[in-house]
Amino acid sequence: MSRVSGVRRNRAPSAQAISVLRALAADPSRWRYGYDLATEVHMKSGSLYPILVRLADRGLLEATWEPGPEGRPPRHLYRLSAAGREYVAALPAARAGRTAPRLHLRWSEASY
Amino acid sequence: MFVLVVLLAGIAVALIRRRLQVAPAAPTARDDTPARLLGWAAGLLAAEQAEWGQAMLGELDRLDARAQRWRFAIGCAAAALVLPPWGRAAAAAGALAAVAAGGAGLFAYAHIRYGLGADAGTWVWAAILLAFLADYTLTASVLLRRSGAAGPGLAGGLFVAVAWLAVSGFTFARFLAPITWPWARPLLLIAVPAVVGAGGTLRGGSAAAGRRAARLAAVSAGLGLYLYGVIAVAALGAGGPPHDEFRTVASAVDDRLGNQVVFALVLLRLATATVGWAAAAATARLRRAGPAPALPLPARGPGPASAAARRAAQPGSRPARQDNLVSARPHRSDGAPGGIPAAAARRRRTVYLLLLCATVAAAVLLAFISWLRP
Repeated sequence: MSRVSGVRRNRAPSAQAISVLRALAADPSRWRYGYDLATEVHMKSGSLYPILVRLADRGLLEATWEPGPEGRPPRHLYRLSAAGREYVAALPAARAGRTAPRLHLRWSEASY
Repeated sequence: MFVLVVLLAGIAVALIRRRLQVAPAAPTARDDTPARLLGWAAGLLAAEQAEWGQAMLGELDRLDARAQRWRFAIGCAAAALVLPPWGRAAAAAGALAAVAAGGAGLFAYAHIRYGLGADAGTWVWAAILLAFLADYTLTASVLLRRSGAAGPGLAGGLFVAVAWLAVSGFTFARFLAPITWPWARPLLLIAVPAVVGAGGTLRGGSAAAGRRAARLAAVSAGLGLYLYGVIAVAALGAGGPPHDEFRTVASAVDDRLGNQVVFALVLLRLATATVGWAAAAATARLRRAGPAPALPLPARGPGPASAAARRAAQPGSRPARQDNLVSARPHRSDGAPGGIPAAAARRRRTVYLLLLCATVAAAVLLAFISWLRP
C-alpha cells in the first residue's frame, strides 16, 4: 500500500471532488477502482482522474496497485486516507448550504 | 532532389526498423486504437505523474465493450493533455504558437500588399499552409511535454536557426538568395542536425531523448526560419537578390512565399529530424559500447512511485521504462510473457527485413537516377 502525499495547494475542492470524496467515504476501508468510482459518481474518466490526482496530491487519498493477471497491467486502487476521512467528516458543517453539487462536468477540474 | 530522396529513404528505413523492434501484442494484452491513443497520451504526462498514466491504462485494459473503451480512452487522453505541470512548457508552446500565427499573418499581409490575388489556388495554398502551421504547433506542444526534451530541443532549434542565418550573413537579401558557399549545404543539412541529435542523446542519456530533441529542434527552427523568411519577403518584395526581369513583382513575391513554405516547413524539418534521428541512434549505440550505466536506485518513501519501483524490483516483473514513455505496445526488450510463437515472429521479421532491403535499394536507384540527370 502506498500513501500519496505532497500537498501543493489548499484550494477548496469542487463539488465534483466532494462527490468523489463522499463516494469513497461510504465505505472508507474499501479499495475502489477508478472506473467503478467514475460509474458510481456519474463522472467521465477525463474529469475523474484530474480529481484523483488533486486529492492524492493533497494527501486525502491512498492509492495502491493490484497486480494484474499474467501479461496484463496492474490496476490502481483508491481509498480515503486518515486525513481524507477527517476532511469528509468535517465537510457537512463546512460546506453545507455553500456548494450544491453541479450536474455539469467542468474542464477546470483539470487545470489544478 | 538527391537530398530529398535520401531523406525520404532515411525516414522509411527508420520506420521499418522501428517496426522490427516492436513485438506483436501478446494474446492477453489489448492493442487496439483506444489503448494506443491512451498509451500515447499517458506518455505526455510529467515524470512524477507517469503512474497515473499506468493507472488509466490498467483500467482501460479491464474494459471490454468497444464504445466503453473509446469513451474511457478519449476522456483519459484529454485529462492527460491538460494535467499539470505545464509551466515552462506552456510558455514555450505559446511562444511557438505565436510564431506560427505571426507567420500566417505575415503571409496574408504579403498577399494583400503585393496584390497576389485570391483565386481558388490561393485558398488551397492557404489551407495547406494553415495545416502545416497547425501541425507544427501541435507537434511542438506534444514534444515540449516530453520529459527532458524541451531544453535540448529548443536549444537545438536555436542552433539550427542561427546556423542558417549565419550562412546568410543575417541579411534578408542573402537569406532569400540561393546559397553559393559550396560547403554550406552539407554543413546545414547534415552536420548541424547531427550535432543536435548527438547533443540531445548525450544530454538526455538515451536515443529516444536525442530523437525528441532533434524533432523539437526541427519544428522550432522551421517555425522560426519560416517567420524570418516571410518577414524578409514582406519587407523586400521583389527587391533584394535579382530575379527574372520579365516576371512581375507579384509573381516574384508569390514564388518567394512558396519557397519559404517548401524550405522552412518541409525541407528543413525533414533534414533536421531525419539526420538528427540518425545521429541520436548512432550516438546511443556508441555510448552503449562504452561502460554500462549504473542501475537507477529504487524510489524510497510511501508514494506510488516507490510502490512501482518495488514492483519492478520483484523477480519476473517487467522493467520500468526510463524515458517516461508509457506504451500499450510491448517491446521485445520488455520480455512480456505470452508472446507470439517463434515461427510467426521469424516470418514477420523476414517480411520487414525484405521491406527494409527493398526501400534501401529503391532509394539508391532513385538517388542514382537523380544524380545522372543534368
